Amino acid sequence: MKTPKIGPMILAVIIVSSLIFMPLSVESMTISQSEVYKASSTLDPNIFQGILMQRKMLENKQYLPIYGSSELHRLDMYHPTNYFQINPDGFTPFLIGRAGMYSLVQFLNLASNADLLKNRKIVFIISPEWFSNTGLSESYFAGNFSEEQVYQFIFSHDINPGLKQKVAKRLLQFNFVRHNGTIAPLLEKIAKSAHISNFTLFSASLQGHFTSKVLQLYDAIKMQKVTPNYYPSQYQSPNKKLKGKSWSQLEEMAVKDMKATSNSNRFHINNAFYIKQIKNRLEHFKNYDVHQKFGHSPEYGDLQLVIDLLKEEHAKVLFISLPFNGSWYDYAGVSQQKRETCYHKIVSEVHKGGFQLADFTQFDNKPYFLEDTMHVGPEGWVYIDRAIRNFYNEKS
Amino acid sequence: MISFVPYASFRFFIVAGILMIPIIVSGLIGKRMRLYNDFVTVVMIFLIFYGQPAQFVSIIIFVLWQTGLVKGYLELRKRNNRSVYFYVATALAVFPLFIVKLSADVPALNFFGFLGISYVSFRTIEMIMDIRDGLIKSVSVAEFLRFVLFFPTISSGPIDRYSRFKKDQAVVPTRKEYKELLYLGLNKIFLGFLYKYIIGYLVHEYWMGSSMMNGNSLFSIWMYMYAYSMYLFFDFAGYSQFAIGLSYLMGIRTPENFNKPFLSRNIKDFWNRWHMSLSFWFRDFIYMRFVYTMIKKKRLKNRYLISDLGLALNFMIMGFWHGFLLQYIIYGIYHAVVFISFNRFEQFNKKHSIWSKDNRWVHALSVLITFHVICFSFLIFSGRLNFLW
Amino acid sequence: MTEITPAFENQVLDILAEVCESDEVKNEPDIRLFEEGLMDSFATIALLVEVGERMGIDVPISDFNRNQWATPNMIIQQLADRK
Repeated sequence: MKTPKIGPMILAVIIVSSLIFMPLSVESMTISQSEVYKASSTLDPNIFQGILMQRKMLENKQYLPIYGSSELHRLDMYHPTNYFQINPDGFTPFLIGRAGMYSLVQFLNLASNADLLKNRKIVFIISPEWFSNTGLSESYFAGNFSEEQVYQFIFSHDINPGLKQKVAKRLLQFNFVRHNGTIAPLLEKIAKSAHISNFTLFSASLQGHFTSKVLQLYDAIKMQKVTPNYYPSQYQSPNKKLKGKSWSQLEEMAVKDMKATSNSNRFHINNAFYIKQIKNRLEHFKNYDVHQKFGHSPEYGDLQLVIDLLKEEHAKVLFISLPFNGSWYDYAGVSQQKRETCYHKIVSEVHKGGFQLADFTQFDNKPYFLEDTMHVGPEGWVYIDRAIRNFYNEKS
Repeated sequence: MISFVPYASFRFFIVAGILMIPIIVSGLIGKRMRLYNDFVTVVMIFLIFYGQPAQFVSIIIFVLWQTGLVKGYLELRKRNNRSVYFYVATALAVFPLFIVKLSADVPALNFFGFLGISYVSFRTIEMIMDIRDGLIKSVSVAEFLRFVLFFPTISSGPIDRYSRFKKDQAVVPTRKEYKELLYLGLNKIFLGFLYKYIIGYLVHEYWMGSSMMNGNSLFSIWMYMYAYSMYLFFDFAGYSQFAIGLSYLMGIRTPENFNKPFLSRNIKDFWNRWHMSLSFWFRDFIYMRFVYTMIKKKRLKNRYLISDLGLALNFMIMGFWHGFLLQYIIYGIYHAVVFISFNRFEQFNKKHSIWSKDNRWVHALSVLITFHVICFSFLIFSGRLNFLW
Repeated sequence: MTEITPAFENQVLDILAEVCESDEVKNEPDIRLFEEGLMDSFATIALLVEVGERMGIDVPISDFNRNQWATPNMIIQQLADRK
C-alpha cells in the first residue's frame, strides 16, 4: 500500500473553501481602480448582473451612477459619458442599464449594495414606455435577472422587513422565480405567503448561502476584465468642439445635427432607423399600441419599491422623467391624454417620495429630444447633462 | 427538491458525500451494510432522474425490459443453447439503445431515453454474451439491479463486467483493504477535480474559447484540434476518476478508463490506453467474436482479411454507437483505416525491420506521429470539420 | 495444481509458436506475450480455436483474461486446469 498522503487533499479543500468563502470586501479588493474606470462606460451586462463592481464604484465618490435602460447605449458625443469627459466637473458617470432593466431590476441592483447608498448621489432615468399594461414582462425580467443579487437581497439585513416583504411578494409573481427550488422557499418565507417547513427552509438557506458565495467568486473573476457591450454604430468618441460651450450653444448644435439626420419623416425619427425599421411597414404601426392604457401598470408599484428603498437608505437621488415621442404615439394610438396621465403619476410618485425630478415630459410634442420612437438623442442629452451638472453641484 | 447530473455540480458532491459517510464508517470497521448501500443507490438514481419525468419513466421501462430479457434468456439457455435464441436476445437488448441513437435523425423518437443508456446497455449486452458462453450460470434480480444501476458509473461508465462486479459485491474488503480503497478513492476524486474542473475548464474557457479559434483558416482549425483533444481527455478522464473513486469508496474496483493515452506509440497501443473499458468491450464482444466465428466456421481462409474485416466492423459500430451522425461515422471509418494500415505496416516491419522499436528517438517520433493521428480523429469527432461535408 | 506432462507442454508451445508466428515463445517461457507485441486479439482467437480443435479444450472468449494468460507458462497452466 502506498503511504497515504492526506495532507495535500486537506490543503486542496482549504484552498478551495477559502476562495469560495472569501468575504465580499476581500473579493472587491481584487478589482483594480483602472478596471472600475473602464467599466464606467462599457455597459457590460456582467456589471449589472453582479455586485462587486457596483460596490467598488459606490465606494468611490468620483463616480456618479446613472441607472436607466436602453437609452444609455446611445453613446453619441452629447451623452453624459462623453460630455463630462470634454467638460470635466469632478465626477465620472457610471452607466448601469440596458434594454429591459425596469424598476424592479434596478431595485435589485440598488438593494445589493444598500449599505452604501447613504447620502450617495445617484441618477435614475425613468422611461414612460415601462408603464405598459403588463409592466416588466417575464422574459425581460428573466433576461436581466441576477441570482447573485437576489440572494444578496434575501440575506440582507440592511433593508426594512416591510419593504422586503413587498418585494418578495412581487418577485414571486414571476413564474421562473416561483419555479426556482432554492430561491422560491426563501422568498415565500420573507413574503409570509405560504407555510414553509423548517427542513426546506434550512436546506434552501444552506444552499442559498453557498450558491451566493460561488456566484460572488464568479463575479470577482468576471470583473477582472470587462468588455464593451454596445454597437460601434451607437458610439461616437468625445468631441473637442463641445468644450466650453454654453447650454444654448450646445442645444443649437444638437438640434442642427438632428435636423439633418431626421428629415425624412414627420415623426422626426432618425432617417437610417426610419428607413430600415418603419418606412415599409408604416401601415402596420397605425394604432398598434391602442390597447395600452399607461394609466395602470405594475410598473408604478415597482417604481414605488425603488423610491421606498432609496428613501429608507437616505440616498440623494435625481430622477429623470423622459417623454414619449408624441407625434409617433399619436399615430400608434396612444392619445395625449393617456400620456399625460402617465407623466402625472410619475411626478406625483417621485415627489411624494421627497425626491428631485428633472421632468422633460414637456418635450412630448416637441421634436428632437428623442432620436427615434423612444430613445434620447443629442438634444435630449444636452438637457440631461445640464440637469446632472446642477444636481451634482448642489450643496448636500 | 434537488436534482442533479452526476459529478456536474457541488450539489451532487455534497449529497453524495453525506450519503457516503455511513458507507465509509462501516468500511473502516470491515463491514458492509448491504441494505444501506441499496438505499443509497435508490436515492441517487431517483435524484439523478426524477427532475426529468421522461427520463425517469424511460429508465424504469428500460430496467424492466432488460431484467426480463436477461432472466428469460438465462432460462432458455439452460434448456437449449440454440444460436437463434442468443441472436434474438442480443437484438432485443440492443433495441432500446438503437431507438435512442436513431432519435438523432428521427426527432419523433425523442420521447424515450435517459442519461447513460449507452453505458447501461453495454452491461446487459455483456451479460447475455456471457450467459451464451456459459460463464454466467445464475443471476438473482437483486444482483442484476445492483450491477445495472450502480450509480457511480451510471451516466458514462467505466463499463464494468458482471462477473468482476459480482466478486467485489460478494467479498467485503478487510479493514486494511478498505483503508487503502478509501485512500485511493479520495485521491482519484481529487485528481478528477484537477482534471475536469481545473485543467479541462481552463482549456475549454481560454484555449477553445479564445478568439484564435474563430474562422475556418487552417491555423485556427489546427489549434482547435489540439485544444479539443486536450479538453476531451481532461474532461472525460476527470469524470472517470470521479466514477472510479466513488466506486472504490463503495468497495467496488471499477476498471480504469485511461492510461496516459497521448503517450501511445502506435494506434494499437492507443486503443489499449484510451477509454479502455469501452475499447476492451468492443474488442471482446465485437472484434474477437467476429474473428472467432470466421475462423471456427472456416468461412474465410485469409487470416489478414478476417482481421481487417473484424476491425472495420468494430470501428464502424463504435462510430455508430457515438450517434447516427456523419462526423461519428467518419470517425469510425478513419480509425478502421488507420488501424488496418498499421497492422499492414507492422507485418511488413516484422520482415524488413525498417522501424526499430528500441531506439528512444524512434520511440519519440512514433509517439509524436500517433498523437497527431489521434488528434485529427478527435477533430473529426468534434464536428469542427462538419462544414466540409 | 494440475500435473503437466512434457508432451502437453510441447503441444501448447507448438500451437503458440504458430499463432504468434515466432519461435521465441519456446525459448522464453516467461515472456510477456501481449506487452512484447507477440500476441494480440487476433492471435488470441487463433490460439483458442486451435486449442479447441487440436486438444479438445474449449475456452470461452470471455474467460480469456490478458493478466491471467500473460506468458507461455501461464497459458500452459490455464489450459491444464481446464483439461
